[in-house]
Amino acid sequence: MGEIKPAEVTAILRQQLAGYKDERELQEVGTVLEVGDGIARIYGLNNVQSGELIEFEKNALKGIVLNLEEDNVGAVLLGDSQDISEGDVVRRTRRIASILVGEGMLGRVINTLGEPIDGKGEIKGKRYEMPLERKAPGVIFRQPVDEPLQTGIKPIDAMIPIGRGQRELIIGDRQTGKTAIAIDTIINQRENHEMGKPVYCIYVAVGQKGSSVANIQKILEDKGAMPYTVIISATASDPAAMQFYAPFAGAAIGEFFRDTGRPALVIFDDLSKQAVAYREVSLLLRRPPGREAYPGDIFYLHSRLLERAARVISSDIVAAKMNDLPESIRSMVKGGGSLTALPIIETQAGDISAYIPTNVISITDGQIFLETNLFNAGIRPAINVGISVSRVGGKAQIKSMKKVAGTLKLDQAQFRELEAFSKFGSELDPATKAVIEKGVRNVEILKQDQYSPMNVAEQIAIIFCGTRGLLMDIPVTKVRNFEMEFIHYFELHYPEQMDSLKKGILTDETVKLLEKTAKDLAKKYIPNE
Amino acid sequence: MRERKIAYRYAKALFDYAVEEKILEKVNADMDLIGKVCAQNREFRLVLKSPIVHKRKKTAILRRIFQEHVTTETFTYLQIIAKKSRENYIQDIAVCFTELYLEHQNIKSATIRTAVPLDEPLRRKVIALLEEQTRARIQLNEEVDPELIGGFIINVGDQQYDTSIQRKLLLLRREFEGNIYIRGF
Repeated sequence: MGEIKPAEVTAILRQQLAGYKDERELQEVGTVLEVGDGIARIYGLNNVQSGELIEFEKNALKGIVLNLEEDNVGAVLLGDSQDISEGDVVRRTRRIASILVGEGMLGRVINTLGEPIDGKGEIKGKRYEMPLERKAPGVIFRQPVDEPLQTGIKPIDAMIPIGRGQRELIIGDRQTGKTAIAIDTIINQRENHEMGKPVYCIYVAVGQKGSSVANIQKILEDKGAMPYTVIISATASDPAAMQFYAPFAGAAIGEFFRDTGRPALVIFDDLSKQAVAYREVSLLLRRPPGREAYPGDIFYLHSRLLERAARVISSDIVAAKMNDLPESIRSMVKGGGSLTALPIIETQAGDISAYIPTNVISITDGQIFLETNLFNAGIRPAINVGISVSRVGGKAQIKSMKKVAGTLKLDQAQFRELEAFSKFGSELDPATKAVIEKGVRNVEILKQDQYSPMNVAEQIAIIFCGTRGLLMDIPVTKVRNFEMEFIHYFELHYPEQMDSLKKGILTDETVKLLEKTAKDLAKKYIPNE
Repeated sequence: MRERKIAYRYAKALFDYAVEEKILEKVNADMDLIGKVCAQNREFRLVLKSPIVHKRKKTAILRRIFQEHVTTETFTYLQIIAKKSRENYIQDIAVCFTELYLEHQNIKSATIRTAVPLDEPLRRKVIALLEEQTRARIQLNEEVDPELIGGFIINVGDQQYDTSIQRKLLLLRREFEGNIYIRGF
């Protein structure tokens, strides 16, 4: 360490003084009437707006105004209420609650206010102010979902495809692998990142354990997924206001990428905990409770959040006129961006007719159902294909996958119906038997290990074998071994065919080669009696 | 402050009545007196608040204290309040009434806090300035708070004009805490 030169000290002082503004102008103030449970009631502030950021004079603690009443103002505190006492002065800031967003956030763990909490120092680079609450883009600034977002998970990409700009719900009981699907999807975007066309990922953890968040960060780091990912963490010990605003912060970061013409993916893990946090704040603010004690605007809370997921029109000229654009990014707006949302909902004992699950199901463009009994039966990911749907993703599926997997969903539905029969143990006719045999093998090829997303060409290759019935002679227990060998073999010998599959082209030649390879390899697995 | 809703309604009723009967000045003096009595006597306030003391007794107390000193209208009003079991809001009602009166007379109450007491020419200057700004007559309350070091804080309603050295130092301190130095040479 060298000595500090006097010139340096002056420079420091000068710089710091330059940032200091003499805020003498007229201000609007109020006084705290009562404070506690993370909310404050304030007298005065007659002209304050709903959603405005307010500042407590004493320790610069921030709050957000939520209730405007006849004789007082209700606000949530974004921090510890310990130092605040009755009679303290509160000032208006005349700013709507917002977060500073920039590329420097990638690879970092931040809180709802955009402050880093991973101990790696300040967030670098230029940052732009994005409001937490912002109206979703209007109809003319959108275009239909037409590009796939590859999750790298076979059953999803084949049967419940997700498009960029879509909102697909992941729903299931605890311990069914909801987060695993989200994390795998993030990991699968590494290929895009390496090709220089990254899909920026934002993982919002609401009300989770700090250890789970640390775990997820570790996994993403190990898999090389952090360079294009931001983690927003509002753990169970954070104030309720921080928890229910965390998804809004995630959406604001996603919008930054979306509106500058880039694709982004935001995961809300999970919205049921966010609803609980919002219920807590609402009840403390004495808003009337409704069903399950949730406030009346709980539907609006989720619908306005998820509506912000969008595929922006590709025309730059139209996109530049988008509604409610923040001033800070107005000059950088480009068309063609997208924000895909994967909200997660945890159900209790498979009850999807509870209040929050039905709400979010009706808001989203489809859902992925995960079931405990499938999970326990070893079918992982434990997706119930029968009731999982994607309402818009079909248009976004690449052609080769559509051709190959087109019949898969129907086949599996048929199989499940007949499977119930086969349990009676009676004699089955050969046609029924064939359907069941094929179905069992298809279930086998749709299984996949955690943290190992598959690229789309590999998926097409193995699903081709399944739907064409090329696995019929292989024992069910050997199907996964066959899958591994088959993919390795095919990739090694026919790389150009794999490339064309990835581009969405399925030529007759590829079909022939796939069939031939499958038949040749299958011989190895047929047990000789 | 907490029971503003109730107090406001009672005060408004009396105020409107007083305006109608053109006895506003008298009633205002009465309410001023009542407010002062409440503010100065803790025991009186406690008696009014207490649920144990019987209503009849409270009415009797009110009569003994106020009958001689206030107009009949105000006294009837006090009895109505007692009848409705709102006697523990009397002080709030008096405060509310004063607010209404000031608003009606276009008088605004302002508070100025300074490190040293104001002298007369300065006081007149401040009042003149505030009257020009708010377009209302100003009733100035003065407080001396040496902790401000210098400058002043003026509060009119929920507007605050703060030029105190204390605040400047606070802002400067926050700036130094937050703004991390980046070497620019």
